[in-house]
Amino acid sequence: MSGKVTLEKLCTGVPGLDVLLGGGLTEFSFTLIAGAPGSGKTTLAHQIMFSLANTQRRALFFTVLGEPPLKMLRYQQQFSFFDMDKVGPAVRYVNLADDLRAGDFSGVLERIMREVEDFGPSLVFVDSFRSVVQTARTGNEGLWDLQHFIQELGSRMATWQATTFLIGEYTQTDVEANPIITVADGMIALSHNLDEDSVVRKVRIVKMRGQAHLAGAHTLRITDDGIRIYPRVLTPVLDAFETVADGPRRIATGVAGLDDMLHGGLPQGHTMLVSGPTGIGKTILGTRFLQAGAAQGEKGIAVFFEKHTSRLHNAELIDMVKSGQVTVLQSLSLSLTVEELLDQLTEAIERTGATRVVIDSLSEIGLYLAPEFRYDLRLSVFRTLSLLARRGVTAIVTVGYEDNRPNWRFSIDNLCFLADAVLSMRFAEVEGHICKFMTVIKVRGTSHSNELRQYRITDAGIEVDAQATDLDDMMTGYPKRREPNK
Amino acid sequence: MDKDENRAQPAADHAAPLIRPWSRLGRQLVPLIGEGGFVALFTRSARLLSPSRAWLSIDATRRTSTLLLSALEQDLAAADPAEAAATHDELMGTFVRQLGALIGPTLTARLLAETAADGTPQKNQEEHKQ
Repeated sequence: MSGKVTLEKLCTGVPGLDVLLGGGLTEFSFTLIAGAPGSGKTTLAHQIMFSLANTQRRALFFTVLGEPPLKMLRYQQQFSFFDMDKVGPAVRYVNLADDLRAGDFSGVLERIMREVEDFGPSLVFVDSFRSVVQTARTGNEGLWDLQHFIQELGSRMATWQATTFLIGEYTQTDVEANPIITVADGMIALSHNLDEDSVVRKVRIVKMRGQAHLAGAHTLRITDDGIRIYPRVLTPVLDAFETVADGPRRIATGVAGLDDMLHGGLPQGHTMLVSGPTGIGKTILGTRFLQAGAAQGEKGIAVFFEKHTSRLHNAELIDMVKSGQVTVLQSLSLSLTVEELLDQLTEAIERTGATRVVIDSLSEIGLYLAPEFRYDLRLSVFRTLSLLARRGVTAIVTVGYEDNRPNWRFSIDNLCFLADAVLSMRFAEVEGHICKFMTVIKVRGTSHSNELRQYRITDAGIEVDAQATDLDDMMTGYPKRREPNK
Repeated sequence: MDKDENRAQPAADHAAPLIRPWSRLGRQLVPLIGEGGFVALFTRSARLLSPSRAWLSIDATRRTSTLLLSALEQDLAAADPAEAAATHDELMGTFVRQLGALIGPTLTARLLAETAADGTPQKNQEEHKQ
């Protein structure tokens, strides 16, 4: 035995927060929850409080001059975590506005202690602590009063063995020179920054004594269920897909000729990037892929960034949606975060058991994403494809671009490097006709054809020639018919 | 507010029992919503009754629950006992409805139930629930 004190961890009940904290919140710690108005401080405090509080572990919530208590109760009860049954026996609210207005810090401190001794809480919240600070007299005397008050409060609450939270409207620059941050054991900073008319909420663990926390800013969302934090880590690989002893199962793409070029189909869990200019048949290929799954009883998900469901010009897809074989995901938000997209995908995959996903297309996804995710489209796509791969879902992801011959490109923003397989589809002018050609550029971990094959879009779908084209110099933009004896 | 219940100031006998539920309510709610919150709710409720109860005094300078309930007691004492009882009931009902409109009937009932935790029956809570 080392004889060291063991820091017990409390699970906060806020999805994702315990990961950032390094396993949970240290019992008896003194944590500052800081952020600008509207950043979610009071909601975070309430969510933690209602998750942890019970009749054995009671919580005392002091309101000062911040959000009026009646309004706070009015709005906080809208969240699903607000448990009315806990109000009273497990959660008690106390307003300190009159005490603060009437006297100095010592009066407030004594009132807090009276309430603590009366209710015997294990959790204490003071909201908003900024109100207390603003009451401090100016000059060194005021600063000393404040620091003394905070130190007293911190030490008394720790002695009382209460885990304490101070909620305050602080910005990052405020706290750096503030005595509170020196005294506090931990600091959780919330922010919501405006960028090109889009707001993305963030959380950062600035400080957490005694435990290795996850640094950096992480996205959070506030929904009807409260706050959900998305740590910047990848989801773990499901056991079922961690090792593949005999090579992955092959997934039929719905285009027989393409399966032939893939030497049996797309390996399960692979993402194939299908790239090509407008009108080349990318969406049709995606539809065929979903149809092939539906024919075998597999569920599919179509993530569309181009068209609204009601405007789908694709009868086969509409049929699959109507029959429940395919779920369509689409965003109405033009400030979409990657986390929202991943949430929707995860929920749909878990709800439907989908094994196939089509994302159509990455060219338009930027129109929907909030700026910071658009700036780093590659990371956004990487996180999305990682989620699919780690769930063993096989995916077709389309990307369109202007076909400026003779340049031959496979994607925008180097997205092709993120995919397991790349299928390039191109037009070429041949003897007075615009013809379509495809070739498999890469498939990770398996062999594939390197032929350039012509294909046609017919009522039966995509019909790929059985052999390579007899045209040469296709990629130069000036193809010519190969001589018969070559 | 505690001293309100033992006021030395003479008041009609019928006013004292009517003011006790208000004192209990104040003891319960002021720590929770502050003097400001209680005063705002009470004044709003009194104003809603004032068209039909013109004798109910409303003074915006009364900024504490003690001052408000003291004035209410005097108003009720000066009124006919039956009229005073009816006004008390209506005022309490209006107050609870105002609170319920802000924080919902369930939380209101729960908070007011705590008032009864001191052993005093709280008939108004049930009577005035909507």
